[in-house]
Amino acid sequence: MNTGELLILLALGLPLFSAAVTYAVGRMPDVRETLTLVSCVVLAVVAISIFMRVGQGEPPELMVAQPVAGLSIAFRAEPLGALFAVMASVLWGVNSLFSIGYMRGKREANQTRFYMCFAIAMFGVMGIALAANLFTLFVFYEVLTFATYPLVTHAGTPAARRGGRIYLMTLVGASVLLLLPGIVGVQAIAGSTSFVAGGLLAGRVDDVAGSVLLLLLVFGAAKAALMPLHGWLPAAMVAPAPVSALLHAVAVVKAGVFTVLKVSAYIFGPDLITELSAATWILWIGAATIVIASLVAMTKDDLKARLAWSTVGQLAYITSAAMLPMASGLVAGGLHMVFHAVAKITLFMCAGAIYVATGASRVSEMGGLGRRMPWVFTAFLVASLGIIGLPPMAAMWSKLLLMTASFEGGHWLTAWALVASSLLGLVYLLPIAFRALFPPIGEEPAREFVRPGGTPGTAVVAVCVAAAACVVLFFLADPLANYLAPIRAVTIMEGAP
Amino acid sequence: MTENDRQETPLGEQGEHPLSVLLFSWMRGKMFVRALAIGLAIVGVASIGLEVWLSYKPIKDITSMPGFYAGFGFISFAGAVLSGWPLGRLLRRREDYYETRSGEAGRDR
Amino acid sequence: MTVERLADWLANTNPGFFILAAALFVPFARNNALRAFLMVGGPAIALVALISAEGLGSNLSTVSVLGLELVLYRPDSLSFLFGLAFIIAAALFGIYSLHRRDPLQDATAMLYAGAAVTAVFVGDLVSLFITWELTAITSVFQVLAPRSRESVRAATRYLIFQVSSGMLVLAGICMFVSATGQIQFALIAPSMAGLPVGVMDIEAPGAVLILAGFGIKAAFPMVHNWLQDAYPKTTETGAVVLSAFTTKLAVYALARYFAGLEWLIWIGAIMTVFPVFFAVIENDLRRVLAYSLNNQVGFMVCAVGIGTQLAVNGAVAHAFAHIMYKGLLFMSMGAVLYRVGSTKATDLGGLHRTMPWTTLFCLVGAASISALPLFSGFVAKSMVMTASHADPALFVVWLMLLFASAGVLEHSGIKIPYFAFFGHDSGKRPQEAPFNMLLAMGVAAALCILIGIMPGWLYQFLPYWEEVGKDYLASDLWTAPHVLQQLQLLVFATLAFMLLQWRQLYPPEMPGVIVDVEWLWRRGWPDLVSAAGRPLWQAGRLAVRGADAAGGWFTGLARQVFANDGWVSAKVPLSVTAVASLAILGLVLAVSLFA
Repeated sequence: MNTGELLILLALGLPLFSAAVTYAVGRMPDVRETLTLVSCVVLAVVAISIFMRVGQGEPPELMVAQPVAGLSIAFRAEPLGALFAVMASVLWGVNSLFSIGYMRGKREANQTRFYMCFAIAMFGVMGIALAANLFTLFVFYEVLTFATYPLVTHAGTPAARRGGRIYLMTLVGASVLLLLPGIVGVQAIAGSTSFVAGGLLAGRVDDVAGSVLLLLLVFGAAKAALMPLHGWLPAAMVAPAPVSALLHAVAVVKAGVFTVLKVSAYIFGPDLITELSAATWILWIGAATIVIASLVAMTKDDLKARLAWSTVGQLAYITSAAMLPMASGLVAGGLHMVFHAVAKITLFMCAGAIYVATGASRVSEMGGLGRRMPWVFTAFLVASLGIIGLPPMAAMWSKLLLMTASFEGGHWLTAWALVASSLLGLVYLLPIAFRALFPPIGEEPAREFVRPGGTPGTAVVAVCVAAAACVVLFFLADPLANYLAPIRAVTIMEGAP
Repeated sequence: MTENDRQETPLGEQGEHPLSVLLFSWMRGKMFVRALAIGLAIVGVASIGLEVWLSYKPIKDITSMPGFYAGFGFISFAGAVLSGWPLGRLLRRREDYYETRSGEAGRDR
Repeated sequence: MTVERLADWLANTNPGFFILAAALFVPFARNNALRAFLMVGGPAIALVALISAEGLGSNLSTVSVLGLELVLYRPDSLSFLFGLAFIIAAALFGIYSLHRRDPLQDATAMLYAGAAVTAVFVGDLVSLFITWELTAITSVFQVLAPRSRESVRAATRYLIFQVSSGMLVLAGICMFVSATGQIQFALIAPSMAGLPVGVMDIEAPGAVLILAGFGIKAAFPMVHNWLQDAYPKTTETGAVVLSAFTTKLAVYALARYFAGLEWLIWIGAIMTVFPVFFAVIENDLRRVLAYSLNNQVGFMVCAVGIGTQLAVNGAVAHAFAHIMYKGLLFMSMGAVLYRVGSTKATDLGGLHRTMPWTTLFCLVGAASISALPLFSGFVAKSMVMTASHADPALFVVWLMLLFASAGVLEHSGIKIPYFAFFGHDSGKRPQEAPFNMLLAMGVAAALCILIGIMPGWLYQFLPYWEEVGKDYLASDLWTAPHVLQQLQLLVFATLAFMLLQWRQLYPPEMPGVIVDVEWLWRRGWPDLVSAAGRPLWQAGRLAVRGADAAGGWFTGLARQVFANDGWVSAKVPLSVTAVASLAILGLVLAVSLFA
């Protein structure tokens, strides 16, 4: 067994192992927490090793099983997947740091189950990131859905269970009714479901068949929350904040758009996507999703609901990017996947921190809180600017690339949807931070802290690290884009020299 | 600045800054405004006169006519100021105009 | 060796970076001396860096990002004076705000100044966009700082305009790049017909959008109101720093990319005229200054539109002079605000008694803005007027500019000093402004006078000094007719003022807001929405319910497929995963049978 295979096995096995050990030491919270954090760090190291190897041109791969001819459980790291793996594992660490503060701060019950399910979810994420074919991806996709269900219904209340039901039904339903037939179709046409550079189906399908398959696969990946299959996202807000941070930033939603990106890069290939009419339809739906979701976000007073709808819109950015025929589209999508994840996780962690410290969950209750929680709200402000796409936050680069790619492909609607979404984002995100940090002098004072001592320290640290990452990544956009370039094997900005 | 408005404050009362006493106190006399107006009128007429005397450029159009700038300046100024009466009536609202219930203050998100 | 390297680095780094770097340390300055050191030292180093630049008109610093070659530093004759003015303004602001310690205001103001200086010296569109948005984000904190009841709303409105400007620029850039692949202005259009390097063809894809974006920040008519909305709602120091950068940065951008565009002539002319009327009736003197800013920027925009070498010289000189004297005027009003608590004309009057220095400096600023000979406005504005007079086709434009010249005397030359410091005695006897404010104002006033009596010092840095500047200075500026004409204009306008006052025809200052275009979105739209509220709200809810129903239908379908309800509401994770894995296995088998 060479190093590559070992790394993949570690990447997959570590979270499972962590889950098992967490269960074992469940009664000793400090040991359990330490173990979780250690697993996060080790997983991050493994992911980074895989990342480096891919960058050097030696992608690790592993074939596990082949139940039936033509169908196999196999893994192969490539730039997009490696990036996703690194992002997921690092953010798992940040999120775990935050969760510790949150769960202890609220004295939540069932913490062992919580950390266990997180670890199993990460197992699913790693499998998705490293999958070598669509079938493997599908298997782990489902694992992720089921592993996160207990996290969504953590509170155990009827409302939580209802939210969990919608969550499960939408995701599983879409998987089974849309994604699976799509995979079957691919298998039937191409004889395998492997991810191939340049597109597995290139030259094998015509417009009709290709469009049908594309629609099935993109909508089947309901985790990408493209309208009208977005309903599960706001419904899953019943989950506690660390879960929302993971769901809506790292694991579930990014798994969805990652699927879309992989499908468009390796199953269809950028050249084929150009020719499919379904790509244009998805672009229109994507543009509509971006605008409608931003508009709805403005009407929500519950902070997490507002952030959930914002996520729906932002995910459509990436789905649209995957459909853009031009060179930068896929790279922009990959970059946005990472940049948005960092910004969104900051926002959700802030929401959680605010809730733990003050019990406030509605925007209208948060006036003046910034004076008591300056770090949290400053991080919120920084991340908001990232979501809007302003420099010096990293998301500006993905937005620039996306808009350029839209114009190159002649998709004006997408470009204008992006502009509108920035302005709407300004309206539904910035006043929150402004009103908290700059309350009018002489108005009634802000809410008192519910928890003595205010926000838990680890939560503040986690939030600040994530916010800082938004700015740091701004300067790393170029190396990351160069890293992702091989997925299309063309240079980044096409056009006149 | 009518003569009734200007108060006759003796120097140094009400804690005035010594520099202002030096620089501006002589402005408060009743004669000052008249003197200023006359002085300005003299300067203005003199400048028109000088322009006439110095004019060596042929008068191509109205703008080269001596005194054009004087007239234009006077009329423009007066026009801008006098238009303040109807415009003020038309456009002025009370100070909290934008903060009514149906204005932006009504919906605070 | 290292000194050489340091000097080399200094010569090749964008001066704005030094100000940005200094800004990061400002919040940590413990005492005033350190603060002063940073806030003046940053610009000072920037000045040294600028002066020691290796050469004007070449790329001194580039970086490659995402396949684009960004030019981080490219000073040339067009940007030199803008940068110089910005640096001086940054230093003056530093001195002006020493009386109060607010790390947020200081740091963000310096970041703002640094971003503006950087923006002026970058050499390509994408870097311009980045710094453009940076100025927007950093300047909003000046609007938030007073923490009044309307701060947050005003800040959001301000930012909407600024970010819209940025987004339009971004859209334009993306269109332009996707079509031509070019972002460096030196390569877009090498100098055409003596115009500044970099002028874009307005027909180029995305150019109109970029123009629109620049226009919002330059306060073009109809999108100008953010200026009058936000600037009076800042602290006493906030308005000073805001007035110096945003609009002049936009003027620079217009001069760089759209010099000679005919639309700008008319847009600029309209911009000079309409603020005059609003400024006459406004009560808040800082809002009057905001309209006055609009009016003066109009001169610059018009000059940029005319596009001849003399006109561009005029635009740049005017921008430089304007930054100084507008800053001075805002500083004097800031001093009044600081000491009295209000800048409303109805609250003020007679302040000369206790604030003579402030009065004096304000008068210098007023004289400058009115273009009184021997002050800076005269030497700068003259070029613009001459350039517009030179073209007979622009006669109407020239008349409009002349009208605006008389108008500016009204609102800034007379109204501001008169109603604040003279006029009817309000009874208020505020203390003189603190020493640091006086120092800053004094330096600005000195510069105004210096430029006014020795314009050659300024002229030699103009972009077209050799070509037209020298001749103009020698033979056109100080000619008797020219001076006499300007004197006539001002004298008779002042006489008109005295006449109107004497006859009580001058409209009195009254409290209240003056309705301008912002009525549309501050009152009109909300009123409309409330009126149409119920039906719109229902429509909105219907739309959301429709989208949810579509999703819900799907969920219902899925639920029908998985009839086993009990499985879903199970609480224990292990049994769920167990069942699920069985289900998946079953599916795998089904699939394998299929294939």
